[in-house]
Parts: sequence; structure tokens; C-alpha cells
Amino acid sequence: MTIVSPSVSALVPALELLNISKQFSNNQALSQASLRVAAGSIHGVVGENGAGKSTLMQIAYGLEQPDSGMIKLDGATLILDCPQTAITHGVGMLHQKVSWLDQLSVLENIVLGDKIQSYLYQTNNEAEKELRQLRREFGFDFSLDQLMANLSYSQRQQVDILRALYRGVRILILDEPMALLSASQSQHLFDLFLLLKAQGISVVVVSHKLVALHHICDVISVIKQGQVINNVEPKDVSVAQITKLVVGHEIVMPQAENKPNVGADKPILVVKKLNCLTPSKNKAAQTYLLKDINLTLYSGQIVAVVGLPGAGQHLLLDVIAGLSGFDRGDITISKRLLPAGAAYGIAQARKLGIGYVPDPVLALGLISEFSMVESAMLGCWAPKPFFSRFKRRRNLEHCTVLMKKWDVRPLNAKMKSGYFSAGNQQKMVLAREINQLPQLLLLNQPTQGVDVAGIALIYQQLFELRQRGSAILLVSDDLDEVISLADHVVIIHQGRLIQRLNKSQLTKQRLHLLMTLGANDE
Amino acid sequence: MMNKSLPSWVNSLVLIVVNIILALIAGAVVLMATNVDVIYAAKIVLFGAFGNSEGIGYTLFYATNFMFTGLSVALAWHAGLFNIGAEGQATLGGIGVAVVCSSFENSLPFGLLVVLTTVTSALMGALWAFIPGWLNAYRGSHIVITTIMFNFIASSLLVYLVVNVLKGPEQMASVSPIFAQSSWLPYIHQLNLFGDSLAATPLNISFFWAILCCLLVHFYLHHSRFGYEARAVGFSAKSTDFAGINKGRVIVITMMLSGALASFVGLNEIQGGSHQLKLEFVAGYGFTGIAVAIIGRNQPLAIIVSSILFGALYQGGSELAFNIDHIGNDIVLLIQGLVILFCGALEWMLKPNIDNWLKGAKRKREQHGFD
Repeated sequence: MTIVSPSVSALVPALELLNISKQFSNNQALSQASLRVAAGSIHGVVGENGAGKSTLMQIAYGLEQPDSGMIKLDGATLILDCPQTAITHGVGMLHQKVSWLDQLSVLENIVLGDKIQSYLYQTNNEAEKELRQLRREFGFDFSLDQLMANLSYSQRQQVDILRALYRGVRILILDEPMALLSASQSQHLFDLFLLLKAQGISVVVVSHKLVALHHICDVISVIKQGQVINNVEPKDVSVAQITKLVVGHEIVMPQAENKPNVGADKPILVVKKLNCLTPSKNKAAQTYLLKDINLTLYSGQIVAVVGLPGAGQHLLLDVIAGLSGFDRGDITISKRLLPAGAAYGIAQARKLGIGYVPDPVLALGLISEFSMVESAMLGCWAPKPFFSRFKRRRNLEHCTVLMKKWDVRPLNAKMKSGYFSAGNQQKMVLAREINQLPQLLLLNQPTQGVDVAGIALIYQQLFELRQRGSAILLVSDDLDEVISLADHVVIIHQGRLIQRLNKSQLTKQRLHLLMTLGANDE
Repeated sequence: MMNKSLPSWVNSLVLIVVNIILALIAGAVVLMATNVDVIYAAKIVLFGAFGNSEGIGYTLFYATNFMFTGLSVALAWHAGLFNIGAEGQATLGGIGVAVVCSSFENSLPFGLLVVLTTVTSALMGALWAFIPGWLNAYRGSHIVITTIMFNFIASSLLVYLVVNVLKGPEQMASVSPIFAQSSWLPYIHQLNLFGDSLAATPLNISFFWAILCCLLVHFYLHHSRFGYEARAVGFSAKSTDFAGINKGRVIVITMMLSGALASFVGLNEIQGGSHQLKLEFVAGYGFTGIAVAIIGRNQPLAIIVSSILFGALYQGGSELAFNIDHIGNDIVLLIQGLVILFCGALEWMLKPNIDNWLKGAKRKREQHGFD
């Protein structure tokens, strides 16, 4: 059932996806989904993990072919057999993982793939003129001559948008564009959306960040189980109502118990005077990546490490997990002293009771070619004897129980891990690691790409784990998440821990200030 | 509305069959160009390979070699390693078998001797694969390059040993003396499985060992911890870093097992077939093993079938060369080469067409329905 309110249908639809169905092996990703995007509108697409959002967008961009259904652009039926066709018709898409040639300039990257006029002597004069014009018009803050390598993630994303504009985009699709952006960078992106809208360009944003979408979108389409079940206008509904549409019921974010079960006498992780240097033969040229880190985690504590991108929080996790070596200092995990030197190896760390959830952007928590059953064993089989035969039936049951508990959908443990949506994959990684009941759980962006209901589930499980007496070390760019999960927050700035805050001292502004300025505000 | 899609193995099976047919058609064109009646030739090949117990015996004898080398390539492939060195590993296995047979042919009871030759050839093959494996795992050498180089070294070593060490003093040909009959592997036609109706062929009990190896490798890959780790490394070496799998150890162990499997060609050819060490006994089985593995989709159980296919091509092909005057062994090699070309190098050439063709009918119906 599709409800289209009059004010939306009155606008001219630029892109229409009609009754689209798509099946992957035995998984019906989309069934009769219809989406109409009006010209010059900002259109949000929301839904749970695995609801079919990404598949629908990939069909609109020609990356996947629908099993049935129709695609119309400005009223004319089209067959989008590949992205190239989509681009010529003015449909552009930005992916989360942007790949660029680092050693070429912005300009060279953008004209890459243009028609070649001459194989002997190529000039980009005309392209350059056009791009300068576009850059001024939309106020991009990088120059065309800069090397790609020198741009930040947010700037690279904007280069992507500039390229889409240069290719004559009229409908721009963005998949989770805010996932890796800070608050101010997101705001910058939204300003750009408004400029695009003013030019008559439609922007389609797929995201789990309902608050942000509610703030910027003209229309929000809700996808559930492969169908577009509703189109709403933010002015008519609240964020909570949209959440209810997405999930089917209301979500109450779990709160930490007031009396955390901290075993002050049981330190699980003790990091003393930890130093990491840049790998370089020339002693003088070495700089500190981590400097004099002191950190203690007790049983039953959640500690978050926050900082600007590249401040050293990821390296700190890797060092504790045994993936990177360190130069000075020592680490004690569950009373076992690990001296400075080469990485002690994650197998060793796991033996000492560490669980590790890597950054979901890397997609390294599961093996996409493995079935979910096989992926659910990754890193957990070490104690089994040399020739222990994997008991198929038992593993399958175990995995299905985990999937049920964590609401991983579709509930088919034999399906290849890579066929699950990103959010469901992430839930499975968390399920596997938490199910081991680790003494110390290391989390890197644990809820990225996970929907609201999934996030509530994850928080609940993390609090339960803490209650059982495990310690959790969290790295997250989402400050709201840090505030709702952490008992303590340590701020990392240029490789140094500069401040430790208690739960009562946490505010977003304060964290933000400390992260950026690195100043001790007391 | 659920539309059941075909399971993926249907696509692969159709693809393999189409590729083989294409190769045979190309072979037929060549035969026609040399004025051979293609139907007559096809009859000779088929009858030669499967027509009587002699043909079947030879087909399975060759298939035994292909099972060993095919398994060797497939096992390494699962860990993301392209082992081109089955040729050299088989050579080393043969050397091991020959040395053990010629030293203990009269002094050891047969049962012990078989165990000793099996273990020695496995160790020799594993050693020959260990060095490239270790270099790849810990020093970053490319496994394809090192294994190819080790093939050359192995073949030189074989020449040296045969000519300077193992050849009998009064022998002219560069072969070792024939071992005492007590050390030979029993022939299948001597086992009286079907009365004594079977023709005499070199097919021997290592055929059963090959089938057992296929089952063992299947079990290893899909039901054991090491097989699981090997496949994890093959699919995503980076993910295994996070899981705590010791990648280097997996690579070395997989290569050693792969080398041991290839080395059993020596059991079949030397202790089972010729009973003496010959210079060219490996005869390209290692390289053909790559094609066998590809056609068997690297699945040990499917490799049994693809080995028999190649065994039949070998046997049927030599019948062809024997029966038609102006056809030599080179035409046979050519047909085998075509199968490798179409099933190996051009493996995916027709995949899009076949996928579309399999989907085609249904999609057409649906689109008409929609309009």
C-alpha cells in the first residue's frame, strides 16, 4: 500500500521506480517496490537493515537488474543495464567507500573516463573552465590542482559530488553519506544539498540517521521487507513516528544501570607509558603516534576513547588487540604482562580473553564467501583440538540461535555472509564476539550502518556484558553513542590522552571542544 | 510471488559441459582439415577409452595420476595459492619411490615397503613444496614463479640421479633397473574382482588410494579445523588477521600437503606401472592437473569425474594415434590442449551467455506479462 500525499504527487516525478522485484539466490530483496522522486527535492530513504534500500538504489543506478518492474525517467521508460547508462541519463550515485587515484590531482581524477580527444596531446582546458565555474557556484572548498591524497574524507566526498555535477547529474543518490562525517561536516553537506535542490537537482539520501533526514528532507520513503510502505513529509510527522514506521513499534533506548558492577580491585587492562613511533629508520624523523598512554580498565566498565580522525584511537585499539607493535611501555591483560616489541598477535590476545570488533568500513569481521555458519566460527575455534571435526548440525543450530537472538535477517544461516546487508553483518560480528563472553571487548564504530532497533539491541547486549563483569573499550565517532554507553571517556589528541571525564561530566559540546582544541579545560 | 532461481551448480555444470563440447568441436574441425572421418574418429576415442576392460583399465590408470595432481592443485587453490609445481613435486615423489624400492626390494616385507614408499614419496613431495611455500609465506616470493623454477630443478635432479646414480652399469637407456617383482604394487586385474575376465593393464591399487585421497581432502577442507583455516585464508587473507589465524603456517602446511598429494603420481607410475625410474615419467600430469582441478571446480569429489574425463582423453587419444595412420600423438596433445584452453583459459567466456540463456525464457514471460 502506497500513500502519496497530494502535495508530493503534484510535483513532477523525475525518477520513478515502479513495482520493482529482485531476488538474490533465495532471498527476496525487493517485492513490488515503487519509489517516485520529484524533481528538485531532497528525498530520504529509510528502513531497517536488509529491508532492501541499497538494492533499490543499486537498481536505480544500473548496478543490479530488477527481475521485474519498470524504471522511468521524466516519464520515459528506460532499461538501465549498467551505471554508464544511468550516468548518461543523469543518474549519479555516491558510495560510502570512495576510491580515487591518490597521486593525481582533483581535476585529473574528475576527467578520468572522459572521452579522449587526442592520444598524443590531451588538454583539460575546457573541463577545467567548466569545473571552476561549478566549484564557484556550489562553493567547494578545495582547489582543482590539489592532490587527492591531501584531501580529507569529507572533501573527497565533495569531489565525488562535483564529478557527478560535471557529468550532468539530475538525480544524485547518496548511500549513508553522513556515516563518516563530523557534525559540522554533515551540516556543510546539507547546505550543499539545498544548493543542488535550488538548481532543480533531486537528491536521494539513504541513511539510518533519522533525525538528520527529518531535518533536511522534503519527503521520506519508508522501506520495509522489500516494499515501500509509506511516503511521509517531515512537516507532518515527528522523528519518533518515522521510527515507529521503520521498526513497526516504538524503540526505547536502553539506559545504563545506575549501579554498574565495577570491580575496582580487578583491573582487566592496564596500559602503562605506552609509546608508538612512526616506522622509520631515521631516528630523528620519527614522530610519536601514541605518547605516554596510561589507561586502566576495571571489570564492569565501559570506557570510550574519542578524538578527531587520526588522533590515534584506532592505533591504540590495534595495539591492545595485538595487531600492531609498540615501542615502549607495557600492557597487562588479565594479569599477563606483555612487553614492548612486535605485535603479540591477535590469537594470543584472544587467548587472554579479548574480543575484537573491527571497523565495519573495512568489512573484515566476516568472510563474505563463507556461509554465516562458517563466519560465525571465525576466531572462536582456537581451543578445539587439532583434528576436531566441525559438527555441522551443532554449528548450524548454534548460529541460528545467535541470529535469532540478534535479529539477523534473513534467518538463513546457510546463506553466504556477503549477501547479508551491512547492518546485519555488523550485528553478526558483535553477536559472535559477545557470545564468547570476553574479559575485554574492543569495539570500533560498533553501530555504524545498523538501524535504530539494532542499535537498541546492541546497547542492551553491551550493558548485559558489562553487568557480567567484562570491560569494554569503545572507539566511536558518534558522540551521542559515546555519551549513552560510556562510564568514562578519555579524550585523545595527537596521540596523547589529555583528559578523562566521568559520566556526569559528559556533554557533547565539551567533548567536541576537547577533541578539536586538545586543551585541558580545567 | 517467489520465483525460485536455479541453484548455482546448475550454471557451472552447464558451463563446463558447453566448454568441453566447444573444445571437441574445435578438435573435430582440425581432424576434418586433416581428412579424417570425424564420426569414425569419435568412435575410436570412445571405444578406446571405455569399450572394453583394457580401455577402461588404461583410462583409470591415467585418471589415477590426474586425481593426485588435480587434488594437489585444488587443495592449494582453496588457500589462495596457485601451485604450478605439481610436476616437480611428482618428480620428487617418483625419485623417493624409486630409491626406496631399489634399496629395500628384497629386504622388507611388501606391506612395510608400501608404507615406506608412500611415506617417502609424500615427504619428498612435501619438502619440494615446503620451500616455495615458506618463501611465499614469510618472504613474499610469488608462488607461481618459485614453483615453476622448482619444476626445472626437479627435472634436472631426476636426470642427474638416473644417469649418474641409479642407472645400471650395463644399461644403455637412461632408466633405472627394473625392481624385483616382490616390490610391485598389485595390479587390479590380478585381484580377480570380476573373475579373471579383466585384460592386463597397468591399473593398480593406487587407484583406490587416489579415490581415498579425494575423500580425505574433501573431509579435510570441509570438516576439519585446518581446512577451515585454509579456506578462510584463501577467501580473505585480511579477515584472517583479525580472526587470529596464523596465515604463514596455513600457507606452509597447505603447500606441503599439496606437494605430498602430487608426489603420489610416483607410486602409481613407478611402483605400480613401469617398476623403474624413467626420465619422462611425469609426462605433463602436473600441468594437466591444473585443468583437471578447474573442470572439477576444485571440489575433491568432482575431481574424480574430471580425472576420468582426462584419463579417457589420454587413452582414447592414443588409440586414435594407433588406429589412424597419419594421426600422431601431436593431434592427441592438440585435442587435450583445446580442452584445457576452453575449460581453463576461456573458462568464463560463455558464462554471461549461459546465465542469460538459463534465465532468458522466464524473464521474457514475465516482461510480456507486465506489458
